[in-house]
Order: sequence, then C-alpha cells, then structure tokens
Amino acid sequence: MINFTSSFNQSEVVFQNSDGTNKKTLVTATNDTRIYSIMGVCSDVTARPIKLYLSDGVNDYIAYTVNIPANAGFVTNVNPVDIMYDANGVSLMSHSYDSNYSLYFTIPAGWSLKGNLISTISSPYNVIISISYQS
Amino acid sequence: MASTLTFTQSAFLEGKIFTTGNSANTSYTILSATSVDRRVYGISFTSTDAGAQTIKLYLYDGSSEYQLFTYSLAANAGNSTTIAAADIFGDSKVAPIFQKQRDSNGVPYFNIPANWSIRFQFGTALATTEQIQTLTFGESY
Repeated sequence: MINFTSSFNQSEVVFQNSDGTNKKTLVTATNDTRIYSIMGVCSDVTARPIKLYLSDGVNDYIAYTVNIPANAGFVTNVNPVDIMYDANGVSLMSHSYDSNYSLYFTIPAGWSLKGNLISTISSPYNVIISISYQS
Repeated sequence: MASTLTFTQSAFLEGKIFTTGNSANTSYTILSATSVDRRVYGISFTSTDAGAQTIKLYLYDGSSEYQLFTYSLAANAGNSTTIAAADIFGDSKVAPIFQKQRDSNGVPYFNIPANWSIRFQFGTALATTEQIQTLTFGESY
C-alpha cells in the first residue's frame, strides 16, 4: 500500500456537566483518516471512564472503555491517559503502523469516532480528549 | 504468479451488532463478501453479555464454511474499564493463518479473496439487554 496523508489535524473535545452521558463526536472522517494519538485528562476529583465508539453513521459500535483517573494530567503525580495505546484497545489500535513504526488506526471516510462518559461529570470539572490525526 | 505489484486502494471498516434476535449456534457474517480482494488487519469483538461466550470463527467461500478457531469471549469485553475488547485477529490461537503475511512495515495481515467472507457463531442465547458487537478492518485492493 502506498497511501499519503495530505493534512494533519488536532481535535480537542471537552466533556462537562451539561453533556451528561451523551455521546460526542471526537473525529469525523471526511476522507480516510489515520488516528495517531488519543489522550485524556480529567480535572474532576472522581475518576471518569470514557467509552469509545466507531460509528458508520447508522450504528455506533463499542470500540473499548478506558478509565480516566481523578486529576489525570492536572497534578504532577497522575499522568494524562494514553487512550490510544490503552491495553483495552489493542484489538483496534495496535494493528497498523507506518514505516517509522508509528502506530495508527484508520477510520474510513464516512465513519466517525465518538465517546461518552460513563457517568455525568460534576460541575465545574471537565474531561478533555485530545486527538491527533491525518487525512 | 503475477509479475506486477499489487497495491491496496482504500480502507474498510465493517461493524455488526448481534442481539437477542440472533440465534445461538447459527452462523452470521462479520465481514461481508465483496468483488475485490482485501487485506484484513484486525478483528475486534465487544460484549455487553454478563456471561462469557464461546465463539467460533469461520471462513466462507460462498458455499462452504471452514472453521478457523474457537475463542472464549469474556463477559463485558470492551464494555468495562477492566476488560479489554477481544483481539480476535491477534489471538495466538489463530496466528497460524492470520499472522503469517506482513507488509513492508512488518504489519501482519490476512488476504481474503474476492467473494469470500468471515462468519462467526456464538454459543449462548443473548438476553434482551445483551449484545455482541464486531468490528473488522483492513484495506481493499
């Protein structure tokens, strides 16, 4: 396969109290899109697990679920969560890598990546999901 | 044997959802047949079933099924922070067929010919609230 990407992008999605447990779109693939990283931080004093889905526009398919600990990325002793490389998502996210050995996952055109918090986050805290991708 | 290079053209991702309306010990397609050859890079299963499921995976050539392996799908696989989604493609039991070819980056893949498909069966009836979901992905030639 010789496929070249033509643009790189960064997506930042914030989950807050008003979102409840509703799904939010993290990335929409207008063209075939390589996801290279998914990171999560949490300002809440309670852990806020997130469930990821791959959506074909009709159905949302569960991808995997990852815990985001309290204060992840907000204090020196709790790291941001590497959602992309989490062991729970190996079945999807660890099967393709480029010639530089960078792991990626391809979302075909027309699909999207979504996520929702398993429980409603308290106000005024938030969970921020950062995604790096190339199309 | 051909004397030309063959490149893949586009990515594919196919999802399926199986519910109480589907029957145990019955074959269902998780990767539909197409008119082109394809590379499969991964097969991921999740489950909202409270119990483990025994699943069987098959290749189907349009007329006959050929069993590949039998796998124990954990309860709530991928649906809990403590249970990973099931890496069906990467499981060691099926490595004898799925892990033998690699691209120039070292990525394992399985070539599924045009008009072939991948099927599976689950062993125990699903309750109303339970689902098994599958995602199969790769590239088309």
